[in-house]
Amino acid sequence: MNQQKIRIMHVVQSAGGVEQYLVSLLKYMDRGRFENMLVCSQDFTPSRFEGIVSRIEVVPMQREIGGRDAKAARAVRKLIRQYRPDIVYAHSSKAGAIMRLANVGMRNVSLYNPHGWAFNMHCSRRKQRMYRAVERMTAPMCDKIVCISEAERESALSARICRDDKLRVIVNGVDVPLIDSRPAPYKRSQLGIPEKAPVVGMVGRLSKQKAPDVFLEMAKRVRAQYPKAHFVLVGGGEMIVELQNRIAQNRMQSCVHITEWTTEPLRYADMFDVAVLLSRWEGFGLVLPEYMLLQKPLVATNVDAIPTIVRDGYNGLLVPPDDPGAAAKAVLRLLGDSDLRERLKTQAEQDARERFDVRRVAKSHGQLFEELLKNKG
Amino acid sequence: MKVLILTADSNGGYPVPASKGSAVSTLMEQLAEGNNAQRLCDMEIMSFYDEKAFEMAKQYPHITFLWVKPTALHRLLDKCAFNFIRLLKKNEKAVSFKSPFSLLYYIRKAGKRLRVTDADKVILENNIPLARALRKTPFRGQWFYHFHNVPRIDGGCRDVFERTTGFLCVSQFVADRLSAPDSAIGAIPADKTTVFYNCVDTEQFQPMPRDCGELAALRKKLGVADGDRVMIFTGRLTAEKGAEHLLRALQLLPEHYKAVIVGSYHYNADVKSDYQQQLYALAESLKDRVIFTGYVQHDELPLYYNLADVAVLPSMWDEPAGLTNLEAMACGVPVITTNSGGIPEYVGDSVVLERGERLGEEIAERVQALLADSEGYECACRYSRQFVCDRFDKDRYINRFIEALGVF
Repeated sequence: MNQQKIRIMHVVQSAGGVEQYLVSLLKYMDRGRFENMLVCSQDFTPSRFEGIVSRIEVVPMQREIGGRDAKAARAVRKLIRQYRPDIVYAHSSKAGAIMRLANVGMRNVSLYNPHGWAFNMHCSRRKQRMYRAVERMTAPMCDKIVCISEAERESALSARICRDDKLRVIVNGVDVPLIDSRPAPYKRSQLGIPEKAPVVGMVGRLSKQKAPDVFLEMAKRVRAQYPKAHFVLVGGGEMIVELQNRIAQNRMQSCVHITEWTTEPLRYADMFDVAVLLSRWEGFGLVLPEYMLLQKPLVATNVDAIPTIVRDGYNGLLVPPDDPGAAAKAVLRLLGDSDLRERLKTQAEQDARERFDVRRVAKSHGQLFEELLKNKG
Repeated sequence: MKVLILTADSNGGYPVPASKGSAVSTLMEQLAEGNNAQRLCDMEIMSFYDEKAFEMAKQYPHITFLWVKPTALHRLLDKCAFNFIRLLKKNEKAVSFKSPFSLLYYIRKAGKRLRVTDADKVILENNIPLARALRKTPFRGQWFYHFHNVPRIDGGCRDVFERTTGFLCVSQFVADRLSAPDSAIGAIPADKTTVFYNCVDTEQFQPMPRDCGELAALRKKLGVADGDRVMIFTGRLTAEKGAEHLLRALQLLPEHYKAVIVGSYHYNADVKSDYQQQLYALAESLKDRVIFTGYVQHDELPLYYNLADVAVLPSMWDEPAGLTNLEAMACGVPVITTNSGGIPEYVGDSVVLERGERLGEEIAERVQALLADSEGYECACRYSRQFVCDRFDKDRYINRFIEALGVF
């Protein structure tokens, strides 16, 4: 029987993590049953979606709240009218607000995935309250809210965004086959690191959220015990100058390396002996399953969704945020105990393969789409 | 979204890709490169034909290039007109009229294209007479002007400017000038302008290790010793660019400070000016502390910047943007510049001096202060590079372009 494909229009604003998520999700959606199309902001790279979506429309959107949002909403509404998708699916807060505004009165199923609630960011109280109010107001304007982790669902409930039956958890995942076929790691000599030196590293934007400053403090303490250790920050970001200045002040230029922004962070991560993520807050922390697949013993902070990925002493070590002493202690524990390292990383890899495979995410989405359309009749 | 970019000039017919150089052509090529990689829109670029540019365009298979090849007659007329104007007006502006007939030919072709195009948005690059292309066409999409300079004439096309959707300006300075009551194209309402900053290739322009072989070779070639402090100036040797102020500063600085002056009058053109003679006379007194390199190919510039401890770019006219500042900063070289036109918008917390009598002295003071504190100097180097990478990197140029079009 020649059944008609379900047409889904994805509306997205912020690039970065969300773009990566969509590339891997859409890659594994059944193209025989679903037709995905993309409405994205100018920050995206549409060429990455060629072959996995049927159409791409670029609508200029901005990150800040302002008058241009209404314009963007009008443009999106026009596109919804033009393409008549069965499902409209918005990713991240900004696109969520624009889509729900644009979709008023339309006869389709609308979905929203906040990819980390904006009100959980560490910003001023006023802003947090405003974000929460916007989410509460717009929640009734969509049919389902997809949460990327159990923690996100709980946070929605405690902030009273909507009723529980509107929420659906589809735990995030990474592109396992792609990581398995990754290119060879970079050579340590490229960063000037000796072959045998212990290397502790972190992948993440150099921004307040990922706490690279805490990483540096931790490095100082680890170095006191392991003078030959090297530390690698994989990423660029607004804190880079501040960090470089601090590195220079502490005379750690020779042992702390900042790679700046790169398209292949895992080729650096592959050279780590211990991988860390010291985020102050975290929507999900996709880099953790990646570390796990790379078989890296890891140290992470026990904030937001991270404890749903890492269990302390089982597949990694957890430390409180903003505590360089505890982080250093955990790193030292791993560096000094090869049995522990072995045990954690084996368990971690197994967990990642079982629980954080994006193919499972694609399948769950497929089921959700069909279920929603069936209910709608 | 389909975008048609019209880029033409009357001072030599610079093609895109920038086979013959020129700042505007280079920026347009960067848009093409960005869009070829990201494919945010369907892009068509109409450019003067040049064999090398045609070959270079093959690197961008996702961009459609429409070539305009002026006939031999047009080129002959250009030559005659240029020589005639040079005879009439002995001033330096003659180079603005190097190829007026080619431009007319381009405008005719562009007008024809606009009749049949299915583009949603048309961008006119900088050139005022280009507006004529839009005059008698049935084109009903949006069109935008992208101003790299403050326009000096209206070319009799005010009606076209009135109907223009938006004006992308390379700085707030240019935008303010467009909205000023004395604007040459008629005061443009402020809400019709938006700032679309230029970009720089931060991969081509990047810091190099101090001890690399190429740098050592260049030092040797220019006669720079290891202990020397090097200040660099790049740009045309005209009063507007202010190279003399660097030399005046050099007079006040100790012996081991040297100045490297990169640039000639107008690209490769062989026109010697009075100002240039004066400059040479001033340099005479400083002997081997001033090094004139003559014209340097654009792709060799990063090496020259890396040779320097500090870049001194004391523009004396209201520079719309000042790309040289960006290039130096991208190489991790702190700049000392002047509060002219759009420059302050591009250099962040770098040293920005007021133009005035004391400029030479102030440059000397600030250079010494900057180099005296080695930790502070290192910070300034890192800051310079990072500031440019964050805001003006060519990788995000196309994204900012689409965003700017979305303002209207």
